[in-house]
Amino acid sequence: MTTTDQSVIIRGTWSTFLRNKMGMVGLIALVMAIFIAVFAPLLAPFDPYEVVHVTIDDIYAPPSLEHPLGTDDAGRDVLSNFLYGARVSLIVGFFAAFISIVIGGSIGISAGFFGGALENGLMRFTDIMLVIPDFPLIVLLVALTKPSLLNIILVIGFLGWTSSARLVRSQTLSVKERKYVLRARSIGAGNPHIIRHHIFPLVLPLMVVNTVLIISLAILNESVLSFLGLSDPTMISWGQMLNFAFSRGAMSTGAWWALLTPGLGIVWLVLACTLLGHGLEQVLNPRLETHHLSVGAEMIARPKIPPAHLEEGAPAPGD
Amino acid sequence: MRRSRYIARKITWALITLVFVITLNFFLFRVLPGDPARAGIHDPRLKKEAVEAIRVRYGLDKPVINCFQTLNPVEFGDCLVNPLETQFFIYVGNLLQGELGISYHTNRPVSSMLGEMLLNTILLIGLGQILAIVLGMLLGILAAWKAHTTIDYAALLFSLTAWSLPTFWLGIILLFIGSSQWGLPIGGRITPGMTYENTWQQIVDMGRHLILPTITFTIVFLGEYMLIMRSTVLDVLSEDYILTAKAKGVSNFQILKDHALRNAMLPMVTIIALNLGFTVSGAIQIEAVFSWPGLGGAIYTAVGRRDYPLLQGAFLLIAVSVIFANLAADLLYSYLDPRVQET
Amino acid sequence: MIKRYLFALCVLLLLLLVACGGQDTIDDSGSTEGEVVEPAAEATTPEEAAPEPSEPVQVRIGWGGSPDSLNPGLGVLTEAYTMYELLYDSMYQLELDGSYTLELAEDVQVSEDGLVWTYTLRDGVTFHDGEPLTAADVAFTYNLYAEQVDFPFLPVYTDYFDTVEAPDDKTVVITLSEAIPNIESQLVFLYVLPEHIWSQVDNPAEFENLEMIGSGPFKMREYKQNEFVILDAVKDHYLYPPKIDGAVFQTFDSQDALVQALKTGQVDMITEMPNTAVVSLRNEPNVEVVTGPPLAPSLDDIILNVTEPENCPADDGVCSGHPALLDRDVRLALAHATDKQQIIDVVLLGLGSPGLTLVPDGLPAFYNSSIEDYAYDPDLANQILDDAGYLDTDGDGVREMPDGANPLVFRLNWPSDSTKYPRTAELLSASWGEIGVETEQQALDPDTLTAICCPTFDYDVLLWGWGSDPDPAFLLSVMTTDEIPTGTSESGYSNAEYDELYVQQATELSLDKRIDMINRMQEIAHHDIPYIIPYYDQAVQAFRTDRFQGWLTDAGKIELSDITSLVVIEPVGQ
Repeated sequence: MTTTDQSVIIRGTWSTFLRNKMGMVGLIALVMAIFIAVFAPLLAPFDPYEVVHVTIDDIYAPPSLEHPLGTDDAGRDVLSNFLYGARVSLIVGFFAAFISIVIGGSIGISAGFFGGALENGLMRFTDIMLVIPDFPLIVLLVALTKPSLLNIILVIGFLGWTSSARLVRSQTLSVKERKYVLRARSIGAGNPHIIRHHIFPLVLPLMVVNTVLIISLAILNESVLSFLGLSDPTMISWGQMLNFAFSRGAMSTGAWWALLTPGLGIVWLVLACTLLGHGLEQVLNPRLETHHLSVGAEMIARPKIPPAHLEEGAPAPGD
Repeated sequence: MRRSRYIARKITWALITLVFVITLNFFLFRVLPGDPARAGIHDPRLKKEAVEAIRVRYGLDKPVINCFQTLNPVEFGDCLVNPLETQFFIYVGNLLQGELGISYHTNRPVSSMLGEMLLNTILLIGLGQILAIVLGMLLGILAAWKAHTTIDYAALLFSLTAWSLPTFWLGIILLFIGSSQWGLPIGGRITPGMTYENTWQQIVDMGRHLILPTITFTIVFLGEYMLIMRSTVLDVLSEDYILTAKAKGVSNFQILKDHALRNAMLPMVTIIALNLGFTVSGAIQIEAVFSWPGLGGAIYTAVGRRDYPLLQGAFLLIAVSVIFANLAADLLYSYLDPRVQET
Repeated sequence: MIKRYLFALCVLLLLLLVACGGQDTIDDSGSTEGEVVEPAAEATTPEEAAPEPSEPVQVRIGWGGSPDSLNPGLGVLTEAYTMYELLYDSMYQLELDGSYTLELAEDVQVSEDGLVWTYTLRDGVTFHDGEPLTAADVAFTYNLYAEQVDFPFLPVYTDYFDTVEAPDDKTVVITLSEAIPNIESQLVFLYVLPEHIWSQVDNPAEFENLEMIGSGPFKMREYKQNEFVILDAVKDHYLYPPKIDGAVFQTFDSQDALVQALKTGQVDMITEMPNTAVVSLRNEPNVEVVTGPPLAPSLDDIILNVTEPENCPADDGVCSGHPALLDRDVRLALAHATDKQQIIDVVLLGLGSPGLTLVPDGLPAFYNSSIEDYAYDPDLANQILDDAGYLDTDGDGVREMPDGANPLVFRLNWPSDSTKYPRTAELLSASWGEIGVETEQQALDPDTLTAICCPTFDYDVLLWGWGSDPDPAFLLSVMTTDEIPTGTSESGYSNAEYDELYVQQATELSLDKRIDMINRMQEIAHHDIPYIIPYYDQAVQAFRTDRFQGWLTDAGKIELSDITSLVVIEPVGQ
């Protein structure tokens, strides 16, 4: 496969993607979230980490001109907390997902490419890790070690690779047998070269889709861990905001803004990733626009590739 | 391949996973920081003799395993000591007898505490999953049928949003609305102190307490089942033989029933099995929010109190349940898929 | 396909049915939850043989925890002690105003030298299973507690007991090894157990005691751990027969759920609630919120590591505290930079009093209110540090030691299972930051916290807390030099005069003299500032005014779940 072929595919993929509504919506939403996270100090009316003297009246104050989304249990501006909180959620999401993908990808490619005993061993190990319920394990590990952001990233990252491992392996298996790979071998190309130039580029799109979904899972996991009180309370994250709201009686006070705001933030971010992931997957595995039983539909024939996600292991609900 | 061989492989594999989990479970708690003997009681009023006595009572004075006295910090010990006298093998031995240790917090046998909790969790999860599967499938079929129409997009959006909701957040909101607007109970499994005239009343009472947690569960999980169902039905309905069937005059309904559903079973079972992990996560959150006395809630409170035996026992029980559920799914799979692939 | 539809429909219908069917039970708030029950069907004791004409009147109480053990020797949580108070009797009863009244005994005589205490028990005391309670049970119980080395708390109350004897059925003779001034506070927690049951137990430290046979005004009907406890009233109790028929304690995992339960009438009283909900709950019709000093006073403290090198425990001590904390001027500046009122406002929503010494104001007899506290004065704090030579030589906003090294950066740790401490830590960081002191905040799980605290002393500043006995002796012991190697001393504080006074007050029989000594001890400790006490928490509880009346709300302390309220409340309208 030449580089020109590669770039044609990428450009073709991109233009298809642009026409995919779901993916675009997801992408835009994600970009917006990244935007507010990066520019939080400029956008936020208050600095949540700054010293401020509050009185009792400032606690759980309802939305007002000064505090458009009200204040929390410590009298801090919810809007500012929300904007800064995006940072932690995104950082955990991206870094934990990155760790998962690197581990999963490496295992998957190694297993698929080298085969034999290595594949057997790695896949058996993956199977075991897949079956063990990861969330209680995450809870245990985080609870028994120091509550810090780094720990959470590491734990979520190190326990989230199983789905990508299986996905990457099956894709590697199918790519491995393609003609140009065999040809490259026959002219003496070494394994690292083949992996880097032939296998990896074809596995990458699927990995990207998988990564996006793992990001959304990592964000959800972080929010639950913060909610359970297992995270670093000095870091503002959406899950942490919910933890304080829940344990400091926001509901009984009627402070709906303290509960709704961070929750909606999480939903937005996760939904953005999900939509993006689905959009990408639609692009990579286009489906028929319609089916034989729809009323008054025309029959459109388009090539169909068996969806990779229906093979073992992907967490992505398919479309 | 032959089904019997497939089944044998799957069972063997489940057992190996079990052994791995048991070993992991044991060493996890010995390696991570924390002194189990002081775990339950942080008040330093506890005298040194009392700490020693507790240590002996829980067998913590014995070496962890041959060559290692303790693992955190690492302290080497006698390699030639009788393995049966080490904590690890005592632990395994106890496990084989169904003994999960004594809770630090309540001094009751962990197995008796967890037994009932397991049933409670199964009830909650079971009900929620069944509803999620049923509603998800219905919604998925509907969406596939009306693919790319407004109904489809609405259903898609609903499902994806539902999947993106943090379970505990949805639970809190439903708890608030449910209790203040609809008069549903705030939490717990039954109304304490209530006396029942007959079993039906008991069921009704428990049912009332189940409504909100189950709705939460269902909403969060039906999204995924809907999406799988939709894509599978869409796939199937695009096949050529569907066209043939329609040309032959078979009703749409019949086609859906005979072909779409049958083919959807396989991926559905796969997804249900894969979902077991998420189910546990959901259970922990829902039980925490709704004060439901199940395994998830046990983990939540045990983590807070550093009740290691209870944590160990709960984790093991959950892992074992998931392993067996997976095995069941695999076996079911083998009957559904005539090709019975080897992984 | 059809089957699936039907099934889904059935399930939905079922859920609808139960939702509507259960509606009646919450609507009627005037009577009990359940249906009328024939008492004979569930009678377990002879007293209920005659069918009662009306429905059993139960008070429903909501709380956030659950008794960890029904065995009085093993329980650690306040909920467990609430149960012990209700189901067992002891020699004395602690009243809400802090005084002791005789409970099991009707008379007490003490010998001249204060060593021999003779108690005469009342008549007609019986256990819940009908057996009479005699002096033999009392002697057996006290000896049991003394011998059980792995009971965490109770044995310490028998430290001064030499012998306990029962010469006859109604007389208990306790001989002490030394004359002590506070035997009441020792005996009040020694719940009397039935010998005929406990002598049959192999290992009392493993006995679950699910039936909880005691002699108290309530007895156990049903116990579901972490869910609820159901108690029946003992209508023929020898001292305080309750007016109600029973009590139900229901556990709620979240504080919001507690408040909601009270609002919707699911419970009649709640023993705790988030302070932020006080205002909204006060606006609720038929609900009254009460605040005040708690019966079991608790203490939150800011601990400074003041361990001198010569006191560092030989085997376990790490003693890595910041050297600046050994300088009283630094601690004085920190005290002046602590805005206690702000902490009370933010963390407690104003429901607390400013802290002073390690003896909480909930023990008014011993609390030295005459001590003048260090006012919040950041300017003065800055001045003190400037004068003492702690200057910010490199202009980064953080002061250094007089020799220019070692910037004043303190590790600040607290247990991760609390939501009050993070807010307190934030506020401290902020106000200490204004005087050039930086903090490194880190929540730690309670185990790790214990590991770094004592006796390793591997920390700078800790946020933690204590629960107090009615007698301050234990809290005072925390600051003695002797307790440094045992791990009870958190700060590593050592003062010879303080130690001397502590020994003296332990055996000072004159209350006035003892109070003087304890006051002096507080002065000494307050001057040396090993602790900064930010506040004393108030109890915040609430009850429905349309269900039961007679709650004791103005007797000094607040504890509505205590025996003092539960035996006197009766349904509204009677």
